[in-house]
Amino acid sequence: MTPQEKIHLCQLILKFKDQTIRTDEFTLLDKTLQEQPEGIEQLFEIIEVYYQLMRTQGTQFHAGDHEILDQALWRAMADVENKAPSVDIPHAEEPSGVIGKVELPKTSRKIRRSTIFSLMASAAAILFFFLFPRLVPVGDRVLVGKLTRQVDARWETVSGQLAAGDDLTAGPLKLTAGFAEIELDSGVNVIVEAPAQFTLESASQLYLQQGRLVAKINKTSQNPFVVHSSHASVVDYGTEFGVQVDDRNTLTHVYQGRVELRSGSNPLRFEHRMALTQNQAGLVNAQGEIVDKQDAAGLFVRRYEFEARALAAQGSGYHRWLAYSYQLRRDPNMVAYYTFERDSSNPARLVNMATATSGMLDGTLSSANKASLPTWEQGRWPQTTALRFDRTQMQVVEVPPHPALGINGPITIAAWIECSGVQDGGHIVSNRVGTYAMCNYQFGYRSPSFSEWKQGMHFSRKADSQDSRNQLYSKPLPDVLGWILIAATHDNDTLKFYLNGELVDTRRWSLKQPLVEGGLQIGSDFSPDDLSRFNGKISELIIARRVFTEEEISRMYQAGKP
Amino acid sequence: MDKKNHNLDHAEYIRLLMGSQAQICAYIQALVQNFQDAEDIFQETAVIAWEKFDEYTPGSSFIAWAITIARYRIMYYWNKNKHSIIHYSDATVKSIEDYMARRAEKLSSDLSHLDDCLKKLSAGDVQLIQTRYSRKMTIKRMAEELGRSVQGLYSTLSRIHLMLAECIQRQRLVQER
Repeated sequence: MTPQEKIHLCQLILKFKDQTIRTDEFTLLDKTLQEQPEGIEQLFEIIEVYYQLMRTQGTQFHAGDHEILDQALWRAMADVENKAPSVDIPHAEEPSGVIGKVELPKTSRKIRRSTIFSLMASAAAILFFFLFPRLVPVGDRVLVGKLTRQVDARWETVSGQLAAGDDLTAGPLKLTAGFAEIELDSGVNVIVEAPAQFTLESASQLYLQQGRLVAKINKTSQNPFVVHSSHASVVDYGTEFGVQVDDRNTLTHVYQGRVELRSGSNPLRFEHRMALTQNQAGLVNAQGEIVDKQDAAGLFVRRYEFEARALAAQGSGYHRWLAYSYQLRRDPNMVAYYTFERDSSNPARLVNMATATSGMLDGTLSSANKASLPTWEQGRWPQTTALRFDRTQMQVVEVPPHPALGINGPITIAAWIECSGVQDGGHIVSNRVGTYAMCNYQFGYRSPSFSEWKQGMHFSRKADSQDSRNQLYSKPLPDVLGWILIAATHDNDTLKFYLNGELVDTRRWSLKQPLVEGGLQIGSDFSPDDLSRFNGKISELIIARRVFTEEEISRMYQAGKP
Repeated sequence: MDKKNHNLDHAEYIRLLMGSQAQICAYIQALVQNFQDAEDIFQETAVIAWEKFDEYTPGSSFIAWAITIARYRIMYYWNKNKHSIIHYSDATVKSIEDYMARRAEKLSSDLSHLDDCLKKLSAGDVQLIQTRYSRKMTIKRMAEELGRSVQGLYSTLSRIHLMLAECIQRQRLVQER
């Protein structure tokens, strides 16, 4: 239930106990308790407080030195309800005064009461959101944290846009674009990704109506940190975790530490619970069931990605690429993604950065003549590295056979390579069973000026080395030196070639091969006498199990160009 | 039943009743509109439960057993006053009972947090609560004295009740950790 719905339900319960409830209000209360299990939870919470207060006859209460954290929020909500325009409820025939007896209407209605209630709740939510800043004087609001940074953020608030450094008070917020970093006074760091609608209830509790966020607890807080939605609660026990809320589900993934996922919006009243530790995820569905969830790590923007975006916004080309790269890694269809960052702990290893296959598909630097390995050099920016391949030394990076590498459906392969002359280029990547055998996919590029390989790019999915009709070439391309982005996509029907983010050729090619399990060779095509081994530098290689659009390829180039 | 056994039963009954009083009262107060009527029904329930205590199966849920007795007392009360009181629909009563069946054992009977939470209220909020509950002033009368609308006062009191409920839960959560 939203805070507004809770306030409204509480009013009805108090009026019921005071015997001042009207017929229409009682009908609504009855209906709410029937239809919303959380309503009954709240009924018992309020009854408990009411019962204890009623029994404190003659007791003198004393105000404390400090107010409860949520004071301003609750006051604002009460004010909104006081001052908001009333919402008409269809009345029964009887007078609307205080009643002694209720007879539930037996005639059928054109509009269901639950529909009316939903409309009222929606209207209240909208009123609450837009009126909150106007109705609560700034001095009366409780500070709960600070908006520390934001990237391309757009806020939907009556008081205008928020700026980095602004204090945040308890209340609702709506982020319609970009990303925001919030530092709560309890020591919790929250990264919010648009579109998101949420309410800061206190420094240690946040209600997420819709959207995604990642919370990281930086220091020990007196209270546990809670993110709750309309149908689930995530109770933190000192950790970093992501939460995603949509109309039906609440999902959480734990990056570090431990959280408890509980069914129900109230973190203390719940039917089911699931303890989650590092790299585990769970989901509460609309029925209140908790189920295991896999592959959720890539859903969220964590702090390091946010920082890359923040630095990119300040004009850093490297961080522009890095932010894009983080996003690419999280793509669930990314099969293998090599950024060619030198692993100082094992320089002979090429690390696969795709989240979906993380820990698998790492490559090993090698050479057919066992003489010398590809060498690490500077990449497109001083902060990055790339691998230089020397064709004469028959250098290659090998990835062992793995089922994840097999793709015979839609595919995208893209690579950033550096060509300094006509001698550079060659086979970039090949996935096949073995020498001259069946090939799931193969991609290469050679300078159009090179006399023995006049076309620019080639892409093949072929039965064997003799199956030349299934190795397609792009039309002759202009000779471009330096760092270039080449890409090819195939949806089993159409093959597209891209150079530096622009579509340069399209070929009709209806083909879907049977699938075989093979390894990868980066810089060669598995043939021992391969005369077109790659020469030059490779700084990025992307293999995805889907077709990137023209816009996506263009963005890949814009984000990655040095 | 001999004297010795009677005394043992009585001690056991008191122990069980004290352990589940909060839950039984909550159930009755949730269903019965008038506070004092609900208190009376609890007393009647307690008397009937003692009279029938030899029908209670040791080891089974005392709360569930006592709530069954309370339910019949509430139904009798509704029937007796059917022209002057309101009560929930059968479906809602069933939902409440289902909830009690699932959760009664888990509902806390620890009432010690209210005092701490009251201390966290502002002076104005404490004054409202004191006026309403300690001085037993009706909302209508309070509204007249404060120059506020009845609806507005209900909003404010709802806010305070929710704050207290949340505060109590928070303290229990901290205790739980």
